[in-house]
Amino acid sequence: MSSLPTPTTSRRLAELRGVAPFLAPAVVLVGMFMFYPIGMSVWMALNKVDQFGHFSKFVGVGNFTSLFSDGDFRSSIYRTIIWTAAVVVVTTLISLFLAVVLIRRFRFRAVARSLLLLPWATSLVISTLLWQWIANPDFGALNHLLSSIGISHDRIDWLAEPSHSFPLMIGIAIWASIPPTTLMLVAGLQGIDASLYEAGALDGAKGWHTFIDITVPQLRPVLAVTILLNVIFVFNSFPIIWVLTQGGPAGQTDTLVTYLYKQGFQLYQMGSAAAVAIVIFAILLVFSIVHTRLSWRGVLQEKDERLW
Amino acid sequence: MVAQTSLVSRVALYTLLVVVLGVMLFPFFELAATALRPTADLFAFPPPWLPTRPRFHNFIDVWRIIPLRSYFVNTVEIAGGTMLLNAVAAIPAAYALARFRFPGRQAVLYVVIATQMFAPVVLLIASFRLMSQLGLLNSLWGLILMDAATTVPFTVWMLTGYFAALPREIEEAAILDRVGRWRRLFDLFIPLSMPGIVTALVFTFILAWNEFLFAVTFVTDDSKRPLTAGLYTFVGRFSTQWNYLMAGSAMASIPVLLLFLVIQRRLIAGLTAGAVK
Amino acid sequence: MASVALGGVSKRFGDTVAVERVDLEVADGEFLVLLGPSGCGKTTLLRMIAGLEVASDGAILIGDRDVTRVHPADRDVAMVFQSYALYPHMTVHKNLAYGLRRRGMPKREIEERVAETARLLELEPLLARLPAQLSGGQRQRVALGRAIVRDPAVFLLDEPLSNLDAKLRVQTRNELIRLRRRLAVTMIYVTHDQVEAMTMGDRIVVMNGGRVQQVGTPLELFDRPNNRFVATFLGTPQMNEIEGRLSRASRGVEFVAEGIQFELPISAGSEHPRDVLLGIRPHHLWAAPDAVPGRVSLGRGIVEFVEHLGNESFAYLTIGGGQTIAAEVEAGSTLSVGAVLELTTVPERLHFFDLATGGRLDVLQDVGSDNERTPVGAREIHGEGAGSDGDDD
Ligand SMILES: Nc1ncnc2c1ncn2[C@@H]1O[C@H](COP(=O)(O)OP(=O)(O)O)[C@@H](O)[C@H]1O
Ligand SMILES: [Mg+2]
Repeated sequence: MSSLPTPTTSRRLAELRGVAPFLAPAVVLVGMFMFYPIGMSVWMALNKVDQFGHFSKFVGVGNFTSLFSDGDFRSSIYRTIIWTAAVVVVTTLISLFLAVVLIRRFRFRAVARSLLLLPWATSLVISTLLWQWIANPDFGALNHLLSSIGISHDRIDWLAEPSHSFPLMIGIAIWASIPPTTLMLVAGLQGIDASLYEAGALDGAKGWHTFIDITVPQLRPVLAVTILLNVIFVFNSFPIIWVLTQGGPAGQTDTLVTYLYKQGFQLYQMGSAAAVAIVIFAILLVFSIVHTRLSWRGVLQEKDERLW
Repeated sequence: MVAQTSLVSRVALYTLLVVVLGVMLFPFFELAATALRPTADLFAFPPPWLPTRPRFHNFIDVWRIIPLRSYFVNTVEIAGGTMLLNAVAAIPAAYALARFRFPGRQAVLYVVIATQMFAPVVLLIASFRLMSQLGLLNSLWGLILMDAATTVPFTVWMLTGYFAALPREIEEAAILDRVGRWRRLFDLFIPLSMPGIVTALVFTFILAWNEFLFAVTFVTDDSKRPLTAGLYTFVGRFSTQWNYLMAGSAMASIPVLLLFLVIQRRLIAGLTAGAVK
Repeated sequence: MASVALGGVSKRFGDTVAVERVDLEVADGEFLVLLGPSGCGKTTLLRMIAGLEVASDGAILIGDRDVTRVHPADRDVAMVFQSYALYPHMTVHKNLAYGLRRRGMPKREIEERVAETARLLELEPLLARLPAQLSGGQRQRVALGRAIVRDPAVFLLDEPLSNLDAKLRVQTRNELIRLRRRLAVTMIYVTHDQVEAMTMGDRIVVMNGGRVQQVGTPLELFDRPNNRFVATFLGTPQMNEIEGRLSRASRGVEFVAEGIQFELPISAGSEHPRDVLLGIRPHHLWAAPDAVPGRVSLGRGIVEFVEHLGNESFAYLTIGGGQTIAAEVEAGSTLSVGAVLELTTVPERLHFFDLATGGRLDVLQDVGSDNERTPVGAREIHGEGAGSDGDDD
């Protein structure tokens, strides 16, 4: 009796032909509308491109050098980092608090959790429009509220000054990020083995120590995922800033995203805008490598081969 | 003693909870209150907390003042189209990734995870050029294709997890029953993973419903605008009639909120998959 | 119906060798049992026959056809999975009919076959139910039915009874035996339960560590285990093992262990003296106050405790070397702990294994008859490899 041949090239080709129809729609879609644009962005970033997409001149890294010599661009990078860090840190802290409270048993717990879905489900554009109205200096609820509770009786024009509008935008982003973060952390907390707490209690851990010694370490994987998702989400957030200030006045509230948008669709510097996209992409790539490391563990890996 | 401190801290804890939740929900109170204000109330100073005379008719009038109907129809088409494209592209791909062994499988999985991080903004400039070349600016199809392409990786990822969880012996029983791969997908995997599929697809529907960046960039023809871009352009076009805007916004948000309520539990599990056992 | 033959079949998962060079012939219509401890490769072997796993080496024949690389659906085999693997979203009727429909059988014939199978397995009242609405035993019958309805040439069953409770297991076992007579189909049945194997199998294949240890009828395995592993794996209570030394003696050979010494009236081979393991099943070792004439005496033991199993009783006794061994005592006897009993056996029931390899030594093949060949001694059979595998369980 003959022994089996080892997997051959023809066998591998047959396997590929077998899966191709299953993967084809996704590959075509993602290839055309994700990978092709990314590749094209790289090429555009190396050229001067007008608003109609015509390439007029190859400039090499010229777009990048002029970007980095632009003070507005550099401060956009700086602002993006502040924006992202502030939102993610505060969101994580508040969400952690909320999650810890929301896994306790109390009346209306289910109601409280469902209400948290409201800000998550609402489109960020609509939320921001709503906040824009709330922040209206004359007729908005925010100033009214501040004066009602005696904090400030001034007529604060929230959107006119970066010193007011930027913190407000950070606040809105935090407000919008808390619900998904909290609910994911709740899921993470529920996944912690209750016997750990019992063991901790027997070891004399109490209150705050329980939290630091048991909860936080056990929650670390979920915390890592939520932080990462938030970093990516906030880093790329467009609607809040665009709706409220369009990055103004004079680019003083621009992040990389709104900077890119203006380069492309107000100044019609498509090559330069593509270069911004590449900068953003490079930064995101770092995050995505981290994310992949985190997610990879969940991938089911079977060692065996399957013929059929 | 112990009981008392814990009572005090409990009260403190719940007070804090109420405050945070209050801040979280206050905008929605304001949304409702504004949506019900008669126009005369809008510019009263100081602004009243509650409408002097709630005007439910705003919810009807807004359809005349803002082309909400067209926005809604467009949004439903975009979100529905995105969802269908996701189904067509992601379900077979997830099945193949979860169940077949083929050269390059690991690499594809890696790409699937990595592309979830590619934010739409990175694609914006080049895809604008692509859409203009394809003649898909000012077309719902342009938005559908972009929304679908950017959501497919997540859908594939989530469904791969669901499909992989199905006991392999059930599929093997079908193999012995001479059931081919496509048949196995349709007869076994899709029916048995329905909750997961619904969750993933509804999520793409919601994402497309709420999408703004492509919508505001690719569409300038008001008759092709979805809700997000439409409501956005309504602001500042006139001295904004906030009561109507809020009434429209509320109606634009309700379908999504209901869908969210349905899928939230599974969605959260999907988002934290790998991190939560 | 078809015969099945395996030639040099191996399966490796990365570095793990799950099945190693298995040769096996299953006759047409035979009921063959694959028996072995968990993890020994039974399921893997069965799955290779089904085609669900691809053999890393070797060839598989069903009937006269080499099916090594044939699609499972084209091998004309049906499999009953340990977990049953019923389609959870299909009713019992659909579970039975689905495979036939996919094979393009006419609707009328499908209905006939399903009805017949349902009758055979008394599934008729359950046809409209979903698997979740069935008891464990009922699910098991549906899983069987799904295989039967296909009328395959070879029937593969992977521990089909292991998820049932004890009572149901016995009942279903008997049903399977009855069913098997009616269907007269080739069956390969995987189990780790020796009682199932002994009661159901025409022949049993004992596996360990991915290798076949011995193939034979239940009695062959019981009476002439090839090696230490087979000897101790089969039979309850487990076979007693006593380390000792065989050497030439005045009237044949002499076995000496700590506190034990006896002679066997056979001529000794040239290989003596050698270190051996003596195996005696508790059923073949009798403990009584007085020695029985004509039997070989192993000396005396002190009763530690007595186990009554209803129709038989076993005493656990400490013997000379401090070792505890089990021996049969008069059923229901009221022995007190500390009693001293005489242990006797008959030479034909003794097993000797090479101490190093665990392989069987046929010391006793000449018991009773006077040897014509000289010198006749211990001949090792099936020494190669068997011993080392036998030890690692
Ligand atoms: N798909 C697989 N991948 C890796 N190792 C496997 C796989 N299937 C089985 N094995 C290994 O092969 C050996 C035999 O397994 P199996 O055939 O299931 O044993 P049994 O059915 O006798 O309990 C075990 O060590 C098991 O861990
Ligand atoms: Mg097994």
